[in-house]
Amino acid sequence: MKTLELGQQIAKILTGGSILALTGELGSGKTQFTRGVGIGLGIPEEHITSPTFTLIQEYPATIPLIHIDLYRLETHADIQSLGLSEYFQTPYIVIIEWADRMQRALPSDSLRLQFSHGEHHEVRVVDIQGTGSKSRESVNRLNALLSQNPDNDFPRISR
Amino acid sequence: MQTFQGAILGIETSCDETAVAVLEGNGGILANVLDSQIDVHVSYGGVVPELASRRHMERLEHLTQEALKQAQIPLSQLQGIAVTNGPGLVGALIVGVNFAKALAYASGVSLVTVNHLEGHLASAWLADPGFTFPALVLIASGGHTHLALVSEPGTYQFIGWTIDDAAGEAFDKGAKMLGLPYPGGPAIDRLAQKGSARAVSFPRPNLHSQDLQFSFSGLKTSLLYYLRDVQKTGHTKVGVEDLAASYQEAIVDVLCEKLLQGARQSLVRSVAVVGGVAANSRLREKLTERARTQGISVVLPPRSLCTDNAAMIAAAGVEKLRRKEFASWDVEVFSTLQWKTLLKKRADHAGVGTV
Repeated sequence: MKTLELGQQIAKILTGGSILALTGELGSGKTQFTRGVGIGLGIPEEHITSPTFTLIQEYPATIPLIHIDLYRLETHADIQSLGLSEYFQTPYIVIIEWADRMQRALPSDSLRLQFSHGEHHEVRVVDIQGTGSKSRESVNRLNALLSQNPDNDFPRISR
Repeated sequence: MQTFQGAILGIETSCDETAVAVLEGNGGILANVLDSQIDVHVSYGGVVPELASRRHMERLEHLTQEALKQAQIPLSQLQGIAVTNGPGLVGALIVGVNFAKALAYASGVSLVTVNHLEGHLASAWLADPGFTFPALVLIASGGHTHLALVSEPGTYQFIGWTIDDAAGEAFDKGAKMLGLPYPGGPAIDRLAQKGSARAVSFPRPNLHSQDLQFSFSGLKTSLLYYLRDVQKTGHTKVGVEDLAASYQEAIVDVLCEKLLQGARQSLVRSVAVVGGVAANSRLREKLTERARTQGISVVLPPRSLCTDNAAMIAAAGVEKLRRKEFASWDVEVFSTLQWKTLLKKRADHAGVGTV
């Protein structure tokens, strides 16, 4: 399964108010995954781009997608100044890249996705965890969805 | 550029430059002052929104006085005030827009808002008043990579853009992987001049596709893999100068070819590159050379008009004043590109900036 497809699959089980916290080094697939979610939500593929410089991008859709990138932010105060907490109370789907930069400020119930490079080129490993009742429910639904296709050796999902 | 009687004040605070300029209606730059925050942000390796807003607030009044003094024009004699209201950092934009509103209200001068990208486009005809239309203009910066087909100042359509990372972001993240300082683009440019662009053959994503979409994410990953393999095997004959030159060449090739391909497809003979990446010396050299062989004329604004500046905002503002697209007092800022609005060919009265 490709990173993009994983995003498209997850889009099927997400509901408004879902918060996805993405971590992992440069080039490990975070933006690619987010593009997949966006495509799954019906946003035109070519419009979903990296928000590294723009910091926050909002995409209108049936369930709107908020794409945030903390790559260029360092301190807790900087991140606070973005006013992200307002997005956490909306019926939107919020995806945060480089979420490790805001550790404590992350909502307690969020889907955590850790991206890493595999041993070989072009291989990515994604570890997915839910940290509250809503996000654990999402993990369960994703497991059920992915188990319908036994060829899936990817991603690795834990609770 | 359409002429306009009187002088226009331009204000730009969308990201980390506080900039103010005074432009004559015929395009002459009377003042173009700027306070770059690179020194503030360099220790952070990027821009910091809260710091950016605070610094804009501290500097804006002084810079405006300085610009008016240089231009030798009192505030009350201005024909208009043009301010960027997006896309950008909301906090930073609010500082500029509120300052401009107050200035316009107090002086009775007309206010117009300008989309930052329309400002970049205007730097092409600001740099060369003889710039011919229709033209294809590449906007390439840290946050944007767009091809705009411009039929006349203020009327344009995006016909290509990046599907993942922006060109300037590719420079910046590549520089980070190579251990170079922020901002990464100039660092790679300098280093590359001492290296060989043929040392490593990096991929040119989407180079031969017929569409006008850019993609730089795969290139970034290929540099990462290259560095990782070198680390595993322990040694390499390729120096960091060669890596910088090879990586830069891949970005430059894609930008040049897509721009020229777009020009051929759109049947235009006039192109320009604007935005911070247009300051890249290899891009300027290669595009000039490639365009000449194809009989296409190129405008590359001077470096002072490539990076964020207020002269380009004033230049785009001239067009809005001419069309009488004045901003209302409750005009707001916006953070992201409004695709639905921008993708449609702009109707004459539709003010993208005045949402």
